[in-house]
Amino acid sequence: MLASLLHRVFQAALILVAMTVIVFIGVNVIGNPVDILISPQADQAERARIIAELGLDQPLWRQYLAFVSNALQGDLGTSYIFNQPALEVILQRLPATLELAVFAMLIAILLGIPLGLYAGLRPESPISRTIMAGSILGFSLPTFWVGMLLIMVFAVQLGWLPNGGRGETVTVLGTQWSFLTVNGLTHLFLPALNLALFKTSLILRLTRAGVREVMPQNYIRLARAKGLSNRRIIFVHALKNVLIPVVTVVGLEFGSVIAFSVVTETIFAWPGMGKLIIDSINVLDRPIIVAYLMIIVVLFVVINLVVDVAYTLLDPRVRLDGTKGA
Amino acid sequence: MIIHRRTFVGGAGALLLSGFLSPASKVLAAEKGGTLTLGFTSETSSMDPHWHIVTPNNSVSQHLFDRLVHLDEKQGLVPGLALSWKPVDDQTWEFKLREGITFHDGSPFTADDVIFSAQRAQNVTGAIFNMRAYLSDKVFEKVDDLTLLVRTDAANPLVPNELSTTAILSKAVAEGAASADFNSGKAAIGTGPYKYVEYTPGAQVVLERNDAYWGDKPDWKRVVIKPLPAGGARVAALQSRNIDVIDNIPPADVAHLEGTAGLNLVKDVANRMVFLSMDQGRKVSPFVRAKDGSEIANVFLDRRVRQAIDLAIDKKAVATHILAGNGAAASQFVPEGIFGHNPDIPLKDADPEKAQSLLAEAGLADGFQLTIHGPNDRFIRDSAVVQAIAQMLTRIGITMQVDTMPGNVFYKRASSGGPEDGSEFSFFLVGYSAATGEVSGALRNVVHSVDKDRGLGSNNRTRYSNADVDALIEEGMRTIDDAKRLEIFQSACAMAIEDVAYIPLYYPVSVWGLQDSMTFAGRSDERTLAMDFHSAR
Repeated sequence: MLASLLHRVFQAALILVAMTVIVFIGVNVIGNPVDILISPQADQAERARIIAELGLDQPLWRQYLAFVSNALQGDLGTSYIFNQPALEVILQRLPATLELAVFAMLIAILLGIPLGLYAGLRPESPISRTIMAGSILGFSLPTFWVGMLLIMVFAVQLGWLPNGGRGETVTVLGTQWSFLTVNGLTHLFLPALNLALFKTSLILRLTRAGVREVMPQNYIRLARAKGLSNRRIIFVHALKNVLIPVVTVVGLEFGSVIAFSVVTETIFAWPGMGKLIIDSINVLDRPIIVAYLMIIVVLFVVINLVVDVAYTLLDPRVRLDGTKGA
Repeated sequence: MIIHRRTFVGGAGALLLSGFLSPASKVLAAEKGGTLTLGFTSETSSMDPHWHIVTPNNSVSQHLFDRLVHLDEKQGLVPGLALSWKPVDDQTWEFKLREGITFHDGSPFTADDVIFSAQRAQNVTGAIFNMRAYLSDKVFEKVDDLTLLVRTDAANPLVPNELSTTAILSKAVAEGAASADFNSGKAAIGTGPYKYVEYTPGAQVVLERNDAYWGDKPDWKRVVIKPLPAGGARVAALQSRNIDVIDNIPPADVAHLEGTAGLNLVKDVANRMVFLSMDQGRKVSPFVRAKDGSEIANVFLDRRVRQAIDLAIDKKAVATHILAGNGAAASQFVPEGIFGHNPDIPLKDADPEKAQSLLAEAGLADGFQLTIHGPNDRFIRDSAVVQAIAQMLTRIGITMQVDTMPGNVFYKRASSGGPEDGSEFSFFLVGYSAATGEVSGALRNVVHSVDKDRGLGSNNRTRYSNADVDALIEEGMRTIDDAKRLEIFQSACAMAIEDVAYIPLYYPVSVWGLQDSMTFAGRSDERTLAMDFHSAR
């Protein structure tokens, strides 16, 4: 267990280094932030002065070394746009994104697994067919369109829910959270639903496929022969096995919903970090881009670890050291 | 008329339903003395008024901080914290400050605050878009608490314009303050019409009226500014009445919002110009080729070719059809109403026949190959504009190729990276804004020949150079007298346009949407200020 944990930390560090190198080279190839951000009134001397002040006149390897030595002291650079430490800018927005992601995944799990179970157990019933047809819509409708539609219907036409933005927040443990207020929840609902639509369909289909695969197996028959109740067979024996692929996907989707829910955040003016990365790339705000991607790498490594731990709970054959028991 | 029971019940049901479904109108929508909610396209990245001079930041900082000189909605100069100003000699200006002004914390405003602010505005570490361009040639000298001398390195008629860019901070509060102190509100103490209440990055800025303000009191007690980046969502917010005012109405929504009851659209020409730049610095230009692809001499060096291209482009069609009213066809470097606009420069109609004969005169009757470059995410419908231009030039026999790219890639390649330290491109679409509210910026930085040592022509990417125009620009830059300077700049503009130094294409039109319970006259600097909106009731 400990060895595998160390192994992962080492892997993560390697990925981090590789990623920062790629970002440095990539941003440098794209362009120069000074060309984009400088005042049109500035003269050539001022341009040169700023480039020197930001250290952009140095060869790239030297800029990278300076970054690494600062990063080792916990300083990932100061944003060219916000004039705040990059890490601070991102962490300020993390809670908003986190609560949106958690709510979206909750909706997806609470809808997807039961519906998938139903559709898997009664594949021929008209309700199952409706569910499956609906899930195709969930898959194929683009988020930005559904988002606009939700706003048009629920905010503009019906006026039931706010059209965007984050609601009232309360401060818990020094961080602002909006899901603890009623106003905050009403703001949270539409964007979370929009994000959840695709994930629900995904989980639903995975669950259904899992159920269809597991139910005819011998151990289920044995359980029936032992006279176990139908409920116990489905929720204990079948579901555990069905959930293994679902957990993997939920983990990965949770990561991507945190990192890349740009479209939904933009449409609903959600002050999260998804939009930050796009804006930063547009103006080549390198400190933010680097810090953001580093956080995402760490996030994915942690999520994968949690998923692996969840495996061992669901499937006793899986051990974290990678060997499979008998 | 006999009403059957069934129809009656059905009708009542429909009535009930429609009442239920009708938009819930907000009770407090923008009443005088109430809250005004503004929706901006971009978020305010910092509350520090000396950090990164971009529209959403300027708009917010203008609520909190005054300048010595203010710009009205057409960017004319009006007294701000300075009551009056006059040139003492060629290199000295005297500013008389208002008496009895206090900061939001109650401390008095004096000349020391101005001197401190001018210093700080030039020295915020890492500020890429900073105020040095406006302040670095000036030395501030205090005569007494309410009198200030501004000495410049050379004669500078634009001192009042340039000082209109710099927010005046309280020395006592802001000395040593970092941008973070402005974000937290600690240092965000100005003399402006509104006071800081809250700043949540990416979510909202909340301001409250400063009832001790020296100038006109705004109608709104509280102002909430929210970023609404997606165009469709911004419009939806306006329609659902959650927001009172939004900026940048997307072109596709202009027509249907104009017909929407309860909403008003306000349009105003911005002081920006989007134009075409033609390589005139190189004997051979990388994207100018003969029809068979072989190398030919740079065609743009021939004025007739530049004229032909100018005549081939139907600017009015670009403005009305492609920009759908979000742009006004441009004849010169600044629109009407901005200092330096020359009413004698006509907006020419497109004339493809004449363009073709000009090309023939230049020995290019068979045409040539040309690639037009442009950004695809910086201006309204920019890639569509570039494509339309390519089509118009194809009509006069030029074989066109179109290449658009994201702005972050485009600007580096347009400004450098090419042969002879010039642009990598031959023919491209860019923009320039008259931030000081007059034409000299465009003349000095875009039209004047490149002169690194004197800091001239810094945005002259395609190396246009005309000694006569240069001489006029330099003369204007040291002429203090407004009337004389206007005349000089107008003739410099006329000469550069006659020479087809650049092809001005259009001035973007800012379009605001607002609830019809208020009035707004528009602004040419694209800022959205609560002070400019008035309750109509």
